[in-house]
Amino acid sequence: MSDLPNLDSLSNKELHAKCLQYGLPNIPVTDTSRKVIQRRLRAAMLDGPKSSKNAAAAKKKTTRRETIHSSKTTPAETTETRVTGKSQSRNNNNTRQTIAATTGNYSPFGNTSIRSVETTTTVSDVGSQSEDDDYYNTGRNANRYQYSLGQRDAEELRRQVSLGKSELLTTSYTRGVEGQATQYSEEDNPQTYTYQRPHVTTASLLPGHQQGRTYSSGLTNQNLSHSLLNSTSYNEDATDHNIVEPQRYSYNGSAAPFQSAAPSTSAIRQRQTIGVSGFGRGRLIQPTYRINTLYPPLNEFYDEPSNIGESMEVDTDSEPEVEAQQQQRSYGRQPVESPYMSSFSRQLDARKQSSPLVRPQRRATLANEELDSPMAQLRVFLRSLDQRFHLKFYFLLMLAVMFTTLVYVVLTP
Amino acid sequence: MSGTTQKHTNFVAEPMGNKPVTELAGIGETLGGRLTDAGFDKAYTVLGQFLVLKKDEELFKEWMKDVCHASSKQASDCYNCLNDWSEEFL
Repeated sequence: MSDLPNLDSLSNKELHAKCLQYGLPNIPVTDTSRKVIQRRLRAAMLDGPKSSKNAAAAKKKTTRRETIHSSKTTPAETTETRVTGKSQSRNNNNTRQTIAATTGNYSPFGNTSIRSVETTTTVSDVGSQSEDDDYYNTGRNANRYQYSLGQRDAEELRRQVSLGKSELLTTSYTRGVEGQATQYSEEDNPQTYTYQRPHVTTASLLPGHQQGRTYSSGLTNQNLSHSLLNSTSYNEDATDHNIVEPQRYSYNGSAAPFQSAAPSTSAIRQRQTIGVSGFGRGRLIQPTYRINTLYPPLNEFYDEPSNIGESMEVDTDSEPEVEAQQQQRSYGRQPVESPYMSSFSRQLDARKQSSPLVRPQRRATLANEELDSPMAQLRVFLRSLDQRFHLKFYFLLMLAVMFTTLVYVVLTP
Repeated sequence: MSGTTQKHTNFVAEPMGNKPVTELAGIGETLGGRLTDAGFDKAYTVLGQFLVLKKDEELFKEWMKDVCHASSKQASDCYNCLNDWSEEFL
């Protein structure tokens, strides 16, 4: 204690001797290091003149360094397999990593979040796991795989846990997938219903009918299904009742025999295409009363090939009027009333006369009175020509052209 | 601590020669000026003091704090730099 004030007056050699006396390291005392050594010596003098203590203190200091080194080495012992090159800051995390290593043992790579969920570790472990995965993914996991391959028996528990996790994952995922699959199937089924059922039914029912047809022998089922899908009513019926289809197919097939009677069925076919239902089938027979199979005398009466053929081929637009006129003409030439006509057919004739389609009949009857005169015949002839070749239109057109040319010639100088 | 600075790496990579004291890790312009005022203008003079103190970390850090009022980190960086250099070239 008494030596403290004398330190400044001591020479470098004396100060060095004092340092040796108090157990300080043998350091040469220079002008540049004098102050530092004085402080150290003063501190040593306050503690006591024991060189052992100073040596112990020096050892403590070294132990502090040793602790640092131990911190470097001890994690290397615990994580020999996984950590090869680490920095010191990462070693500082190893204190947590030892905790996390217990949780993370059963974890290979990327299942970090799942692991964190199922392990009962603390939240800090989760963070450490994530940090670990961030930093040590490659080397650590590779080492872990090697380790697991080497010691499978010892790691069965770990693997079981990891498998349990993976199973949970897979089950949940499969559930999700199954839900999606069911949704997709539910979404897809109606489409397949609408499109596939007609395929099936046509495949099962059509071939017989297709053989009957002359034009549909080369058709595929898809074409048939498309043609069927064009009509919505057919789809609805197809989904509801499959029995209805063969009837319709039979109806379509029944159209084939009428192909022989080309002139009379051409217009009727157009009506069929408009209405695909079986109701059009009756319209095949009804509309003109010519095809009346019940009364042969009438059939003989209507079997005038010239009238029927010409009227159907000439003009389809004015077909009903022409037909009606021809009918009326035929009625006018010969009395229609025959003992074979039933009351029903007479009523039909009466209705037909009252209908607007029958108006030309009255004209025909009026014309029939004047048919005897040549002028009337000429009128009829001109009228027929007009109806066939539109003579009035061309005549008026010529007049208009001539008038315009005349006006043009007059106005232009 | 964890990573070495580029200055540390550059200094340890080659003999110091007549490098100024500011080439040492942890020694900037301010501390370099103070060290220059104290007579330690070259890196090898600081290395001499480092060797005089027998590479004692605490004594060297205390000397650094005493001479140029360096912080603990600055003193530590300088010590590590000289220690690594001495291990490499001495």
